[in-house]
Amino acid sequence: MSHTAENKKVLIVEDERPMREALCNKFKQEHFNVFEAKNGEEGLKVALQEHPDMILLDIIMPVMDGMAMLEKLRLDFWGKTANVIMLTNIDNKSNITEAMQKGVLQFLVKSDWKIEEVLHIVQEKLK
Amino acid sequence: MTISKKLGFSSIVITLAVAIFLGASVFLVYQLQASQEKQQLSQKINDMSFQMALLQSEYLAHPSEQLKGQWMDTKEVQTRILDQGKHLFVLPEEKALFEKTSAVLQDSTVLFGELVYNIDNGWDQAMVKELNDRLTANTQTQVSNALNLAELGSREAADALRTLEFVIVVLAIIILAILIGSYVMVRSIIKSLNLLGKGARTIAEGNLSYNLNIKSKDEIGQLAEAFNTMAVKLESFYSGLEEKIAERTIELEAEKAKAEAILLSIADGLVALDLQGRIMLVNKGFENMLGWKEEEMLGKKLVDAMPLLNEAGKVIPESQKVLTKVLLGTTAMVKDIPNTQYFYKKKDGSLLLVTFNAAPIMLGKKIIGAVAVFRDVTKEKEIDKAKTEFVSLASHQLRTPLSTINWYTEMLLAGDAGKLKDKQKEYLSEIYTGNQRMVELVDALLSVSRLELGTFMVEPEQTNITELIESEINEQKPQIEKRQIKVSSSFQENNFTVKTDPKLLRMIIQNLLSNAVKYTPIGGEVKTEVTFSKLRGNMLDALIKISDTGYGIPDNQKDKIFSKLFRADNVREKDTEGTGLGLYIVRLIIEHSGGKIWFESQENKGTTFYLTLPLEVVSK
Repeated sequence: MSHTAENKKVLIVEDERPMREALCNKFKQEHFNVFEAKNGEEGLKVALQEHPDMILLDIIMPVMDGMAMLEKLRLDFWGKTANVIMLTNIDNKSNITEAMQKGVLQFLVKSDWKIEEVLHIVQEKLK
Repeated sequence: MTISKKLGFSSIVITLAVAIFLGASVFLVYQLQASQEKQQLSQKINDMSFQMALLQSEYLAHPSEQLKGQWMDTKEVQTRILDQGKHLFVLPEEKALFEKTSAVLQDSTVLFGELVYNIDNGWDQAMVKELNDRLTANTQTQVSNALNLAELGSREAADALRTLEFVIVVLAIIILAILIGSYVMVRSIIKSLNLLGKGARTIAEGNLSYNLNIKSKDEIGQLAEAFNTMAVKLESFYSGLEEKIAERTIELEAEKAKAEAILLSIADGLVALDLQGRIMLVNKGFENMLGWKEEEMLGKKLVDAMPLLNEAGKVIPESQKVLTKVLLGTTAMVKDIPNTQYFYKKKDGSLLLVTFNAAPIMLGKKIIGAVAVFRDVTKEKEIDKAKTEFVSLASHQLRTPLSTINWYTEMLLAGDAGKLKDKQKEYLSEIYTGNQRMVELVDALLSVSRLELGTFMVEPEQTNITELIESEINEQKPQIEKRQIKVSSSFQENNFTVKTDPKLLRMIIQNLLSNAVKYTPIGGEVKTEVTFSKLRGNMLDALIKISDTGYGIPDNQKDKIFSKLFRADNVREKDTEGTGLGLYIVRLIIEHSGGKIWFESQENKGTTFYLTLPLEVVSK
């Protein structure tokens, strides 16, 4: 399945509407195929359905949080090797360790990164 | 009679007997000698009488002066002998006989004289014959006398001998009696001694009411009496002692009970071990917290019955080594091994989170065991966890709107929502800058909260100090280039591989470096220098110097520079940004790591920060 960078699928799982929209707009601008979800449950469904090339995953979310979704995702055959980048504002140690153990590519604290930088990181990882 | 008296008596008897025997022997010897002399004398008298008779008859046949002379000589000799032997015959019978012998001799002398005269002067036949007959009769009498004397003498000797025999027999009987008596006495003494010995052993075994049944009035009897008295006294002494001991024991029991009550009432769990690490005692706290009763634990080794476990329920081996060190006295006291959670397994199988302390029990200078105290820290850990989670959550809540503002401002500035006029860009930049400050403040507050709560752990890992510092310098590149700061660094050569917590070290370096860059005017200089010196054992001391040619710290504010939220006046004026938390954070971290931080500064000349950090050397 070789897509050009512009047609890569990215899934944004984020409960904060403004942030979700900002990310979606940014990635759409760069001609990504953008999918969104506002909680872990939705995110899992969309992920398993669409098999995105990259998942940007928040942690603190209602219904099902990011860690729970990640765990469930890894149980899936495709989900086992899905590309995930945590994009969150919570940065306590146990979350980071747990996330790294579950094979996320990177753990980004939103307030530490410019939105452009987030974009670049995703583009790098998809090369 | 006492033994000594008996002995004395026996000695006297024996002495007497021997004396008597000696006396009798001497007497006998004397008697025998005397008797022998008497017999000799008698014999001589006998012989001489015959000789005189012979001479007498010869004279009758041939009278001569010579014969007369010989008769007279012989008579003289006999007279002399009789004179000499007079003292031998002392008994009346003997004496009488002896007298008679002497008398006869006298008579014979007279008769012979008359005979000689007669013969010399005419020779009256009838007279001569009479005289001759009388002389012959005398001779016969004399011979008979001599024989009687001899016999008397030998009879005396026989008497003496018999006397001696008698004395010897009596003596022998006496000695035998004494020997038998001695033998009997010694036997009885030995028997009494055996009894005494048996009695002494019985008493030694503890039977104080034993009584020796020896009633004799002698020394043995006295000894037995003294022995019995001693036994009685011992018995009363011991029973008195037993009473005292019982009293004292009750007192001690009461004291012990009190001490135990205090010990057992300690709310924390307490377990006392002997030198082999076996459980001697557990308190109520132990029983309540873990569900095991004391009886189930006694005698077992603590490390077997109740080992410290990690979260996975696996035994933590270091904790056992630590207990061994305490018991051996190589460690005075032990606290938790850092970054380890300790659990005990309760009787119902669940794990209990505890904090654990062990110390040796000293009796004088000797270690007699160890006492371990533990506390249920489940609540505490939960509270800690809640605090940490709260801080994280709070910072998350604060950051979320901040990142929203950041990103939208970025997107506006990037022109995603349309081209901006310059003024609009300008204003948006201010908003962005202000927002960045907020983000920095929130991050700093989060660090401070974590440091102050102590809910962060130092996690040493192999670190390359040089690389770390250089990467932090690199992070500052944008600012460095913007402000055209000249940057240099020097690192002392070393072949050591060291362990330290890199994330904490980063926080320190990042803060100090960004300060140095931030507070130095355009074209200034920032220098970094790292040197090492040996501490003790496998510890190394790193000295890090970060100096700048910046604004410096005013003298009157130097003492406040490490306080929370403090920013010196001179940098406030210079329109720089800062949270006032950076140095506070740095100080907290350094102090927690066992290092030191200080500085030298002159306003408008520059500042140099010095910090020391102990590092663990892994290998050379």
